[in-house]
Amino acid sequence: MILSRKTCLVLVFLALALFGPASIAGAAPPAEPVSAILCRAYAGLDFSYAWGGECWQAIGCAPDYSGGVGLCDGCSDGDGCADCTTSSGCCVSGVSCQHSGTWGADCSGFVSKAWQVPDPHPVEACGVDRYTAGAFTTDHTYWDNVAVSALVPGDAAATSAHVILVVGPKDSYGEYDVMEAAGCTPGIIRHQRAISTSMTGARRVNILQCVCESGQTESQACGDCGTQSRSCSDGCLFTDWSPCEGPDPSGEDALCQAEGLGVCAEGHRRCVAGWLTCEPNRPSIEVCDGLDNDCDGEIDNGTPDALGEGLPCLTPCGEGASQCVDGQVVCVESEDATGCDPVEPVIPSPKSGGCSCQAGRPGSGPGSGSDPGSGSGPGSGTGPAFLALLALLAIFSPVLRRRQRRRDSL
Amino acid sequence: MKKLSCLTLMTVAFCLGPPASARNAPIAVEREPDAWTLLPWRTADGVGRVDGREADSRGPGGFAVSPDGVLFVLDSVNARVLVRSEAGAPLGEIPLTTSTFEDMEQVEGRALVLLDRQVGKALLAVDLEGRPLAEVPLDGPGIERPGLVTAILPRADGVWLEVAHSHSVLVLGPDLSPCPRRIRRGRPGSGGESLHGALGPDGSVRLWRTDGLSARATKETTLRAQLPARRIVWLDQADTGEILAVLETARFSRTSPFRVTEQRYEAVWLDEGLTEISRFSSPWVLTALSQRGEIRVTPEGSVLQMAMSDQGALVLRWEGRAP
Repeated sequence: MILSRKTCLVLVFLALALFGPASIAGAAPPAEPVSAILCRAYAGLDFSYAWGGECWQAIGCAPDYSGGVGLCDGCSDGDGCADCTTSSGCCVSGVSCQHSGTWGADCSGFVSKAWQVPDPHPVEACGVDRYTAGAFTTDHTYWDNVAVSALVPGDAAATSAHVILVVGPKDSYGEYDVMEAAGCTPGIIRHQRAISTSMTGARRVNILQCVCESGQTESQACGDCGTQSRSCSDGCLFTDWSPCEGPDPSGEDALCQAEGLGVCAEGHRRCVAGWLTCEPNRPSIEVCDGLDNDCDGEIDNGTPDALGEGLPCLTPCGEGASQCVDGQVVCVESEDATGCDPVEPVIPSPKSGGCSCQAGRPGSGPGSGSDPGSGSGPGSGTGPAFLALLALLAIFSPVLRRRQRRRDSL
Repeated sequence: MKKLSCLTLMTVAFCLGPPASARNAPIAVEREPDAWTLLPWRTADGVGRVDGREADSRGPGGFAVSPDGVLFVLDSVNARVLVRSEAGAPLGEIPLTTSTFEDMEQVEGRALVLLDRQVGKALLAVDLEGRPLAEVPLDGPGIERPGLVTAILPRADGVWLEVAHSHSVLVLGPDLSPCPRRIRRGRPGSGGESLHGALGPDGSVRLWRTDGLSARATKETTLRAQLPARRIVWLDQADTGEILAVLETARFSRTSPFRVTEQRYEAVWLDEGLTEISRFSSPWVLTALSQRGEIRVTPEGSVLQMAMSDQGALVLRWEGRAP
């Protein structure tokens, strides 16, 4: 009986799985820093999943895709089992797992090669000894088990069916930056993932613990406006990188266009978590200022209270009511006012909160006749200057009226 | 001498009592869920799973609940979304074009957003018939690598993606079309504030709010549980304004191979000022099946958990508040 290469590979792999790691004898893994393990792992990113495989191509710590990444086609039986990861290769017995190309690894091949167990080999070496996932769940000459709550970069976490490699520190929520040969479709990936308590941690031996000296610090750029740093802790290991932070842009660089209406269409450029972002101006209560403060697409369309409208006031021609006109609160004479042609329109500054009588402007303010002093109430948008103006108007109004009458009589 | 030192240490440890993280920690009431729905493995009405051999194992990646209580379960393996009524009755399914989605959220009951971090490396928005509405690549400002995305956060101003539990990036506008990216710290919450969480070194969990732009906390609190917290499973503000934090708590053996000896999830409700209101515990925890979406909250404030059992995927529901 002649066995195909694939079948032969499957049989060899099954034998390996059945008889376990005890059948593998090798040299102790090299004494090296964790960074050397991570370097080999990083170079495997995006290579294909190959059941029984353990090799990929690298240039330093980076993947070298020049020879292809391999292709895992899944099962050819079309039974929906696309991951090609069961013991027989596929879901249906006798159907082969389809992989083409030189490069690729399964989960335990990936970790074995990154760890250099049972023997040191270049990552490009295919068909060399390796362990299966279940081996990493018990103590071994080449590794010690650790709690999954205590994993650090370079450690592995395994069940009887899968093993992953931790390549970065635990994040603030307790998820890990890991790499794994996840399955046929995703291949070898790097991502944040929660590590279940069903997994067992393992730490390789012969890791050089001290990689830095007291006082040593490092910094690196991150995001697009940030930097982060780390220092040597206890004269031995680097701390985790600090959060990525950077200064906000200043001057003209600080202004930006945002998606939004009114004042929200503009914003300020900020450096948030190391990334430049245009933070739009936030909507606020619509006031009378010629701007769309609440970002609803309409200018000065707020409530009378917020705009300072409808408050009794005096014009040179008589009693009126405040109104928001062209971004300014003005005093518009009431329809039932005595009527006059104001000769000296008063246009107070909007900052003063006063009102004005503008020649030719239709006076359609609400009813008048109430106490003029009430115009300084809360929310009216008026202040002491407005009160002072009202007082002046009250004093000079009779004089103006007398002048007007005299002019009329002439 | 060595023996004496050891004995002394043990005596001191005994006198000190339990670790600080457990002292004065509120006791979570273990409550049976008020309702549950079982989606059996590998049936037409159930969900698929892949049991990896020398590979990852996976089942349904996530789930979502619409404002009117309709349940959507991401049956990743079978490239579809199962639709269930609030009571668990089948209402149909939504076909997907790929089996590589890892997590899913719903947007106002009118659309689903699906996260594909590893293969398509994109966020896809589809309507409830499965028709694509928008697709946005994950790579870009704020997202250094697609694998760093840790949550989908639908909000009134669009869909945000959280990155490494550090910051969030707005990628879809309110109309679900791609928009210029905006970046905020933490998880965007109500009133322009952001919500943050971090495990403490002593098994506690710190929660705080910021304005989303600076690192300064405007409010903060520290949660403790009877067991040390090892992961924040969920942290978000419900439509009711209250905040739900779900913590994975566990204790491990002190001898090799250091397996877990005790574990549970603790769900803690807090008000907007981060004052604890109530808490309960769930014995269901993450299994070996990869799963990104474990917890969701209904608009009324019921807590839903998708857990894996021997029979199938369970969607458990806890109504109201613990006593």
